[in-house]
Amino acid sequence: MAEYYGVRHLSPACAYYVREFLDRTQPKAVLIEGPSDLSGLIDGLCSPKVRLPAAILAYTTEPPVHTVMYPMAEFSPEYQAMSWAKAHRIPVEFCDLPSGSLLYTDDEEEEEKEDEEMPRAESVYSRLEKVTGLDTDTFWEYRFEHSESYEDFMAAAGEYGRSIREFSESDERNELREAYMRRRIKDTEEKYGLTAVITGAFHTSGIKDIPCSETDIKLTDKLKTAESKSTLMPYSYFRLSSRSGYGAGSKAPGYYEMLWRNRIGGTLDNTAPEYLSRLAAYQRRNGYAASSAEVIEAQRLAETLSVMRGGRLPSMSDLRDAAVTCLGHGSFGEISLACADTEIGTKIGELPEGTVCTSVQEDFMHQLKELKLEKYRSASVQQLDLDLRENLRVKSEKSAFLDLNRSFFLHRLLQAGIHFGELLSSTQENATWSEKWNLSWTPETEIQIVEASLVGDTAEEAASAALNMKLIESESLSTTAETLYQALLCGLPGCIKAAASAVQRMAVDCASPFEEGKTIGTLSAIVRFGSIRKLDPAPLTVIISQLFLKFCLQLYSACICDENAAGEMITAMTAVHDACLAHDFLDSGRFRTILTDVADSDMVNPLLSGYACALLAEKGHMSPEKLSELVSRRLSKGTPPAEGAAWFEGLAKRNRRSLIGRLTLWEKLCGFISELDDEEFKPVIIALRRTFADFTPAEKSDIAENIGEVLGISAQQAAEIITDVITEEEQQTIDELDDFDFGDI
Amino acid sequence: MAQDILRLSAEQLYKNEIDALIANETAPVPKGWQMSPKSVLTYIMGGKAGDTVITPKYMGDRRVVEICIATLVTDRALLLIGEPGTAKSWLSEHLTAAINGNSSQVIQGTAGTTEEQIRYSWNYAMLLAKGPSFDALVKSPVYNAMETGTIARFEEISRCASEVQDALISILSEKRISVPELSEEVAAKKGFSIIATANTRDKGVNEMSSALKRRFNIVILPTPSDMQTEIDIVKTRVDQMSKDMELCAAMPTDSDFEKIVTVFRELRQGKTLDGQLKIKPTSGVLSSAEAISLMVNSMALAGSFGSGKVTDSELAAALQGAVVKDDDKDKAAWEEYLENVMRKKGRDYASLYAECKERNA
Repeated sequence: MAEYYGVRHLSPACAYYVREFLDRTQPKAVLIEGPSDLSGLIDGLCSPKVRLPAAILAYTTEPPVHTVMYPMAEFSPEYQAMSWAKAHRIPVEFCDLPSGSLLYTDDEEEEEKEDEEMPRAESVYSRLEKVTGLDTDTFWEYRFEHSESYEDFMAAAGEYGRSIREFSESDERNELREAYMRRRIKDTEEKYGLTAVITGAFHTSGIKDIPCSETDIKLTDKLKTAESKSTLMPYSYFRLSSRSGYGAGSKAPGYYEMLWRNRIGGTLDNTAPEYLSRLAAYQRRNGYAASSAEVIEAQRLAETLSVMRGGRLPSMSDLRDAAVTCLGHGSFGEISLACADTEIGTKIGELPEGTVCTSVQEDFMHQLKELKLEKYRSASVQQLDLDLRENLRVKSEKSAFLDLNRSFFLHRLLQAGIHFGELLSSTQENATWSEKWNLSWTPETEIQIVEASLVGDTAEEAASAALNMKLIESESLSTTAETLYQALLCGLPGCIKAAASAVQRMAVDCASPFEEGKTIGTLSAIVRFGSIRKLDPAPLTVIISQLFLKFCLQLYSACICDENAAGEMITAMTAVHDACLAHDFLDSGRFRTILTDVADSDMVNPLLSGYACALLAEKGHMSPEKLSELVSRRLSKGTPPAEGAAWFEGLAKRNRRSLIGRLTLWEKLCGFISELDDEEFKPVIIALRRTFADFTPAEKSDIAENIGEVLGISAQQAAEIITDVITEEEQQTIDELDDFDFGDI
Repeated sequence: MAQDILRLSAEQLYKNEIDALIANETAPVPKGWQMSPKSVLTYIMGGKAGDTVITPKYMGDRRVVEICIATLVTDRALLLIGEPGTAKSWLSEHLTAAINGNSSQVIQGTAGTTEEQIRYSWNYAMLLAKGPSFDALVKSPVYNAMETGTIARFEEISRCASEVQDALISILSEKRISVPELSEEVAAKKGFSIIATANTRDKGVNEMSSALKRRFNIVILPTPSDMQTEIDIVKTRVDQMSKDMELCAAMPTDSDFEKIVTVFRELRQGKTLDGQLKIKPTSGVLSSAEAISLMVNSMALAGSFGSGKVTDSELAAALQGAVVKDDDKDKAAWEEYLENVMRKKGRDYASLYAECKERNA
């Protein structure tokens, strides 16, 4: 007759009492819930060289990659049972379906498979929450983690297992698993004698004292299996905490480890003060005040809270609420980092070299083959040129987009921190369809791949995780937009979407029209050229419209600024202007209205006002009459000369050809200059010199011709004067201008 | 008698509920309290005491109330912080009504509050006639609470000057008040505590000293967590108020309530209800209390000058007033909200959108 022990995975109390259970029952063999073909990995896991957390991982070798994972920490009851068995030199094996069958899915089942026990488990837990008025974790902690004796614990655990079984339904898949377990138990008993069976509490009620029947044997004789491989892999507390669902992870591994250490040390009461003191210590390390008095008050409050809810010791939620009230002065934000540090922790497991072969490695090799990149897997550096456009000379879609897929793959590796390829800067400007890479394989690459398995199961997943992390960390609109661009390079639609909504969030808080304009430019380029990477532009167009609206609302007031800011604004206005031309969905009328206001206003920076005129005139949205009216006003006596010059500088920044052809403009300019006295002339000449500095010589001689016409000298003479070598005296005068003080303009 | 009183205190209004809870008490009662912490929780959150139904007084997070009560059990002082209209004073009144059966020991914090009002002052006629004696002492609510072992309330503590607030430090840490004029010291009886409230929008007006803050357990009262709760709160209160004030307008429709609460919640939380879009919040306070007064206002408008029925035009006018408080910034943020969010909400919002847009132009 076998002995049964139902566990909650990653529970310190379970882990502690499983050893006592084994001591009391003295079995001849131990069976543990886990893929039966992977029993060979138990030795490796129990080796003294291993530092937990680590996980047993099985994955399909054919894409799409499915995985099953058994993460273990020191406080896993399964791990404690294994090490007990090893210490007592008795056989220890897994008893669940072989990994291949666990991974096997029908195509229709796919969806359900994703979170195997979730739907059922959720309903059990929500019912439990209704009955007890406590959330599951708190209920578990009061009832089990704080229990004082073996008998108490076993009685409560048995009851718990039975009731979750009662509240939930067992499905076909579960029937199969339990039938297989029963069969394994029977076989093991026959082989070794008394067997201890350690499984999830839910299964215990399904296999306990039920003998293996004929149907069980028939059911489990022919199992459908998928091709799979398995490995041990290092794990991290962070990843443990981010996995959801029954048994798969723990929300607070750091806290549970604390419970475990105190439990084996016999000082369970110390957990609460230890938790609070660690929070306080973290706060102090990071420059916040946290006094011992606050810790004491938090401890008292936590105790009262647990008493009010019927607990013997404070649970983590009591402690956290008390900490928020006393240490965080009411707000969780103040102590959230300290909570993450204490509750989750940063521990990362280690495994001896050579024992790891993760799904990312497998995925990597598979992709190399698929993308015909295998010959690049050598230590010598080789160059690879990619043409991302569809190759129309080949038939299959796969080879038509081979280079594009290669590019996606290489970019993903970069994001996942695997430096197999290095992107070379392109020699041709704006060649969005061409990329050059240097590929080389080093031992470091190998290590990077194993490290990547800590964040995802495939290269794609690892890249997504890395990009999502970047999104969380990025603090400015333009860096978020940059991440969006990288997601585009990686060809990860999910990430693009996440990045797009991050950009939207950032955009709302952005108060600088300059940043907005720049981002509109970036996004507009992504939409225009994204098609080569098969981008769906829809979510981006929404954001561009929003940014555009915001930019328009702020534009006028942003144009009232100093000279430095004006330079930035010109960049932004240009970007928005271009976006308006490129995209029909933008309300360009709104932009034009504001440009007209800016062009017309004497309040705003004259440079920007002139530039707004230029933008409007370029597309024919300003009548020649209006333009010449503005020119007259700006270059008239009433306007301070320096402002007039700056305005002209703005105007001359665009569509020069048409300006040059406009004789009246030059007449006005000549008139303006000739009316100036010496003092007024100095600032004007500086602005004008700057204006004409980036005109080409051909343009300059055309202007000379115009001016010649106005002043009544021949084009020849004018050109001679303009292109003549500067005399020393003139040079000196010009040099003096360098020291000119512009005052407030 | 009672009908003529504009507003009854909590312990008068819910006397039968409090009596029922005391009569049905099973759990141990802390010293100085009239019922157990669990019963206080039931009184606030609603439930049953014997056959008496206890109405819920606070609609919101149960955990917050648990923390408040636990704080008072540990003889710590409680500081409730929150946006205007998050039921801070309401909660403090009901807590004291349930714990002591007396919610009237209140100090209202203002810029003019003096230290004497917190500690004690003198009846000068008596002082001159008889010299310093206990008879000549005018006790503050805090002094009274210490003597009787009950809870005193301090409303809007951050409105009074920091040095005045600091008078509480010694009272809270030593739990005694000294009267040097009489060479006497009065020690607080068990059960004494203080519930103070402060407004987050007053932050920085009179910053509380850290020495004083340290003596309080601080609980931040959240705005209603889900949409339906908030709609219920707004609807119930609007109904009550419109009856009390005898407004001659029909109750706004359910969809009106939904629209207003949606706009308020979205602007307050800075994102759309589905969490897809982030929104720039405006500077005005958009609490449930504000939504209630907005609704009552529209009803008054419609009743006195309109058709007697609240239309989108009244709502838009009231919204404009509630949302655009400050300056051009609010106006721009409101326009962004209208264009990016409300315009895309479809037909139900079309006319409200048009009205709002017109008003904001």
